[in-house]
Amino acid sequence: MTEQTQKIIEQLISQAMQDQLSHEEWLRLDTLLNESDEHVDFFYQCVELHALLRRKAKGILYILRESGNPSIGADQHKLKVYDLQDIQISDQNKRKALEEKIQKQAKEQLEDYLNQYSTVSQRGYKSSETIPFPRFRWPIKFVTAVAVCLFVTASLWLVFSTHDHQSAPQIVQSYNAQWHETTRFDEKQRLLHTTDYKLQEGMVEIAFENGVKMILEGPAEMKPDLANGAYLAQGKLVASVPPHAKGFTIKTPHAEFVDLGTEFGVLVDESFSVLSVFDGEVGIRMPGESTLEFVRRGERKRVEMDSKTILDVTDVVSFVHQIPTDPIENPASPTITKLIIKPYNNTATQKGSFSISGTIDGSLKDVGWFNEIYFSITSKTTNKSYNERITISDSDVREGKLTYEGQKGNITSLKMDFNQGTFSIDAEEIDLIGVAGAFIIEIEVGKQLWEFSGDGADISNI
Amino acid sequence: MDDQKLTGDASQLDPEPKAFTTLFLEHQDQLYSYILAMVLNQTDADDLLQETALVMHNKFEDFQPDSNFLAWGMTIARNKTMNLHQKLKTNAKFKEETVQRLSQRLEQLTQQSVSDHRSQALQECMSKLEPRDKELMEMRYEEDLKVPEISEKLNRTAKALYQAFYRITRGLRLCVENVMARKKKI
Repeated sequence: MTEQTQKIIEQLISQAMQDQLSHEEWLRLDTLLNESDEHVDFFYQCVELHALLRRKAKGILYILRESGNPSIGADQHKLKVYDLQDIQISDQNKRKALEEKIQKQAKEQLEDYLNQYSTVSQRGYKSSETIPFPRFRWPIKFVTAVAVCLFVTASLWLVFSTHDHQSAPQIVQSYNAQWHETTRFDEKQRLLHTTDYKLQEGMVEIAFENGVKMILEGPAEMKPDLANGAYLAQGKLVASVPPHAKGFTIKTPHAEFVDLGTEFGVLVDESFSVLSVFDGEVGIRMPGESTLEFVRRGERKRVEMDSKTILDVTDVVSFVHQIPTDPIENPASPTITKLIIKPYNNTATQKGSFSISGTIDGSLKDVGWFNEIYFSITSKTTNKSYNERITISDSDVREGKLTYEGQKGNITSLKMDFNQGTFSIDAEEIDLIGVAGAFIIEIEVGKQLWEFSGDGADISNI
Repeated sequence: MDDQKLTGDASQLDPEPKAFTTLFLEHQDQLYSYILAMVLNQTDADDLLQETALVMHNKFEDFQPDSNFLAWGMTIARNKTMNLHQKLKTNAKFKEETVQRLSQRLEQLTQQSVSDHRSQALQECMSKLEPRDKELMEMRYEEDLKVPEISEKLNRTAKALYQAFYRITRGLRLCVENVMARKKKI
């Protein structure tokens, strides 16, 4: 083989590794490799160098690393990489012991990883062979060992995304959502996997525990699958899947759509499903098949009932990516049945207290998801206002009742019963000077806002 | 329970059969080179190695402890690569016959390859790199930056960088060959 041919092969490989090889150049390399075994041998020698460079840079568990994501680079750059030769372990026994230690750690981590993945694949996925590896971000620190191309692990830990304690997905936002009467949620708007969720109109945003965000557009019928995905019987959805939740699968009556780290939309009609990939890549698995057909960014595919072929879709299918954020419509008015405001309850501090209770309309469903309650009382004449934001914890809400016995701020008690439609709020040690005239009370929970306008007559001055 | 099963099956042949992870870590570099040669794309090769590892792990019970682990892995890797090639709509790939031909030859080559020595030689050669070139290699292989990104970072033209990478890798390869030849003589 001439030196010229060597140079050509080497140059072509270098270009290919940078995605810079044109079709003609691929053909040229192709031809060269078919000419003689000598060319193939030389070709392999060059490729092996690239492989070794990669391995040296990435460490012993390089297969577990996320690939193709430049953001990972930043973390890796921070790694302190030692060189066994630099550390100068001249003691052969010590060196050997160190190498053994690294190997042992690497094995354990790899085994954990593979086992972890197998566990996931056992639930719900039949053909684990075709499931893409989830590419997690691995905070791994490495020390390079040179002699045998080993990498000493300074500290090495892997973070797994566990599916064992996945709690039910939750509705975090909705827009004009009308649910079918048979659809039931728990008190925190969580979606149980035993229920079919029938959205008659409007749209909702659903947050899965693993970070997947789903916009469901009605009319739609969906059932969450706690393993990692959902069954869509009808309607439209858009799923945004973070890298660690890769493998998130939308099943439809016509096919399965397996996320490979991406954002995509699925439309299900009676006789067909449409997949639209907005970012990344999605695999289509046809019924009875074990392999995935890959669909890339910008592509739209259609799968027909009882058909084995995947068709291109030329029409644009519109999907909603964001729930519209309209201002709260028609704030409901609470009816105040009892209101006691004592502006100068404590004469020493000039602070007052109030106690307010009444009825509210609207249910938890209208309220949507919330983690805090905003309360304010404002003087109509001076605009002076007292307000408080109270963070609600999970344990504060039980069976449609919110009970807060306050330590936070000046609110001592806050109760809302969405089943009975009643509420009460008590507060102490509040600067109420100026609020004593006409005032407005606002209570905001989730996306519901209750407003109450009162005049001085409501105030009981004691 | 799985462990017991594995040991039980294999104990007839070997009192202590190697665990999957041991075997895989021993051969992953060869598998990676093999895959990379077929696809000439780092990202695809990374993905294919991951997928191959998973399939091998899942099918490890079928693996005969006395047979060739690497050859078995290569068959799986080749199938995975062919699947990927079929799905790729671009022309940025080898022809199917070429992949077949390549893999036949590579399967022989990889088996003989003495990766450890080459790796050692490469380390020696890398330590001789100019700081400027070393920086480029780090950006490319450790930080996974692509030429356009490096170009922006270093304010050098993409064309100059492509040339630089060609020059550096060629230099490294020649150096590795020299070191290997020298060691052979000794």
